[in-house]
Amino acid sequence: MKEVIVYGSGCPACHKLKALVDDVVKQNKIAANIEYSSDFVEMAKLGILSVPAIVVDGKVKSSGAFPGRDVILKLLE
Amino acid sequence: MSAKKLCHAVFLRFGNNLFTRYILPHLFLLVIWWTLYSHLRDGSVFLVDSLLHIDLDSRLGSAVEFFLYDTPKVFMLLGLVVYGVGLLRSFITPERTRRFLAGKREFVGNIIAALLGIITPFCSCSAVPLFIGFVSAGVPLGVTFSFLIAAPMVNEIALVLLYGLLGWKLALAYLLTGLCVAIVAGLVIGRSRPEKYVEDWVKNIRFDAASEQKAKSSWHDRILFAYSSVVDIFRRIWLYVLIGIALGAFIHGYVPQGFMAFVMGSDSWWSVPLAVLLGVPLYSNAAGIIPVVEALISKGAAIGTVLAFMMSVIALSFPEMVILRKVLKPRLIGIFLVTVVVGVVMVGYLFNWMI
Repeated sequence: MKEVIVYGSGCPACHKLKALVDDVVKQNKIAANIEYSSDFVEMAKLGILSVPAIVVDGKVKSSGAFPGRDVILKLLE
Repeated sequence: MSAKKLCHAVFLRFGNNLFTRYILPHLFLLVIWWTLYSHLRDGSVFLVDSLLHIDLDSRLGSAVEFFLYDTPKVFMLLGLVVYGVGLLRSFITPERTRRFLAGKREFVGNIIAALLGIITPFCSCSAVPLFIGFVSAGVPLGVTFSFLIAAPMVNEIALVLLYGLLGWKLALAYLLTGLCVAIVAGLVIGRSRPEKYVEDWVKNIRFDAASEQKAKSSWHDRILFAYSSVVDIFRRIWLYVLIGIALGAFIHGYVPQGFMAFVMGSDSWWSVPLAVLLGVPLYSNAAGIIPVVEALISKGAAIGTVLAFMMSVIALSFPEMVILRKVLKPRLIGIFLVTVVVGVVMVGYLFNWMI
């Protein structure tokens, strides 16, 4: 089970990315738990400077970008 | 997906060294771009005159010709610059900017921060993590603010649209005065003991260098990144640009000369502050506002007033203030607002006085 957190500050783009990650996980039947977070303290600890960011199992995989489906799939593998 | 395919088709069939693989095809595309770009006027005149049979001197003719000329011109300029800046941006990440600014002294730091604000990728929803990240790494508060003010206000899209629609002089004026506002406002904020007005929990965050994101990119990645940023930006702004140009074309052909002089002329002292205050609650990106600005100027609005209006619409936004409230106490947000508003008003007066 992968722990996936999408970090954002509440802007539309960040919520859209969370929905997209949800969709990719569902379509590819990946065992993952996906959350959305606006915790700025956690972001600072992880070294995230720009949102939306995708964190998989505690590792920042993407930040400040809106990756496409195929890229998201790769990040989750 | 499609971006990747196109990239492969264009760039990856030219052998392996840097020159034949990347530089040569870019030069080739640039020549094609330039050839097309320098014949746009001929094309639009030909379309209106020979194909549509509309008299170029009539109202309809001048509006249609304006639209047919400006639309491809703006999109071609945008494509070129967004691509170029995309390549540049793959080198200048927010992380690098932070490393560069950490420990810089005031003044020099403010100048560099404002300059980096032009090209560092930034969207106002990243204002808070960026603010925390900068401050916790030892970037002075005033310097951070210079960056936060310049980043949304002075960007390549605004500059390209200004250049394409209103000429290089106004683009240069916007660039220089925008940078000045960001630098001076940052300096003023830095002098007002802002540390007291940052929320306490932010001060407790310590920067951990080990957590820093380091991305390795190949040329292939960079080109892909630049291409996808063109697609991304076009997808977001094409409609605003089209509406703006259509509005401009309509005004160009139909609204009488001097119409705007009454509202936004340079005679009345209150027009600049009024325009700036009107602009604060209005929120739009550069793509939406500049074609409107062009229309205002062509009908007699004073340059300084319009420039100030535009800066205040782009630089100050209510949503950004709400987000910043999470890390700043109201007083510092107030100082931030007031310094930027005063700076922008001064830019307006300066230009009305000069021109």
